[in-house]
Amino acid sequence: MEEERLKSILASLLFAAGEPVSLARLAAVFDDVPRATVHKALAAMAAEYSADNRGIVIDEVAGGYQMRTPKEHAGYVRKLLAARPPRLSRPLMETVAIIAYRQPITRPEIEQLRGVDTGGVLETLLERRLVRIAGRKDAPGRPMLYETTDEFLELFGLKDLESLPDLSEFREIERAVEQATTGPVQGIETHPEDSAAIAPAPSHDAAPSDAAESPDEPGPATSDDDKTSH
Amino acid sequence: MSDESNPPPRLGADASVRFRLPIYEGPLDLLLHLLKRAELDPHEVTASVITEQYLAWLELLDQLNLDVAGEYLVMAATLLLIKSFAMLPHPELADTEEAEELKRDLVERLLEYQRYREAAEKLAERAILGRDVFTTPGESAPEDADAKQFTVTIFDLVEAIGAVLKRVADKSPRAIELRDIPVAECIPRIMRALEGAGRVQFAALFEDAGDRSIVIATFMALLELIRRREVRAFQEARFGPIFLECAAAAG
Repeated sequence: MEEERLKSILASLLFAAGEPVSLARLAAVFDDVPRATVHKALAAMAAEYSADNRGIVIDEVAGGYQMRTPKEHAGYVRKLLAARPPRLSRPLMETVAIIAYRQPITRPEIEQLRGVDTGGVLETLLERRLVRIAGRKDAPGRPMLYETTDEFLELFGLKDLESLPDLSEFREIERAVEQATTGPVQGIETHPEDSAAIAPAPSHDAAPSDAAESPDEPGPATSDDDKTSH
Repeated sequence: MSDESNPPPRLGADASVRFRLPIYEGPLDLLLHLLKRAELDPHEVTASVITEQYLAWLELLDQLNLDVAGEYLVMAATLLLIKSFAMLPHPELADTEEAEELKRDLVERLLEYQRYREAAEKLAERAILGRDVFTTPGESAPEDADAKQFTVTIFDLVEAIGAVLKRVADKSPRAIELRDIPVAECIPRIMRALEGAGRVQFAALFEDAGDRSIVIATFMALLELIRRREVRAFQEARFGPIFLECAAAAG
């Protein structure tokens, strides 16, 4: 098959699919085209689409290829669709970031890092399918482990988990922490988080999770806290 | 606490107005905010100005009749403990070591939390699908195409269990027998059934159940599993049979 025709068909496939489609799934559509050829064609398309400002870009997202509108056109598209952007409150962003960098991770571990009850936020993340249950930790109480999903990668336009910003730095710190904690006995300190695994703390987080859109901010609510809430 | 650089948040004159405070997401968040305003490094978290401002915030939250989460109070206690160590003239006591350790732990937690907060900010700045970039809705993916699924509500489940109970009631013996079936025991049984078969019809789960107490315990266990999102309940047609499957298998 000549390359122009291949590219044209691939464009149809990506357009019709909407969701990210893996190279394997795309290649499986063709009987007589080797995977490497499909891969090459996709790379060429991605370059052409963005070079020509076609109003559509081909991004590598969540382990696949996806047609998306470029960021510069966001205002126009939003106006047309009258779409409400996904709500990304600060507690939600913090929690999903912790899960992304530390997965799989338990709820008490997340709460230890954030210093607050996280039950409500986790519920929202599960509902929006940004995280899922990865199993149970082999620890007292067998707490559930959480990990991020492909929907998470898609929402944030990430090719895979390796493309998380500054991942290597986080890994180094994690290693250092692990080394430090494997020596002395852990868990003597009386953190309230430990009890959260058994009985969910009173649902206090309703107030903080709404705070991000608070219109009546009194006195010292300076702008430094608003960045992620819009 | 009323120096000009740090006025506490003011209450509106109209007490009927409901406020939503710019609540800091937790004690660590509040501390970072106070440190930033005071232009201090997280390493200086035990500076008395920070402790004072932190306590002023708690007092304010209290005045506003807002529930202060226990975590805030634990942090206040920690700050005060460190402060009291610093104020006592007790160089001969080994407690200074404990105070140092408390402080070190606190600084470490703050720094780690700060890192994740920054990571969250970076993520939020990315091109977000549905906010900055858009895609076509797409036709249903192949895995959904062969089985169109409807979510099952709690009402559907209760209705279904009602039918099961009716059936079981008919064949249960007349003799009254009190048995205590712990719900926790039913959970692994359900999981085993689901893991073996992939998906199981709701009614099939209760086929072996001899009496009502087993049915009810199994049902409670099922609700718990659904609540924890370990199990998913769905229908392939409206008013069709309810199917159950492991959430993990559904991916």
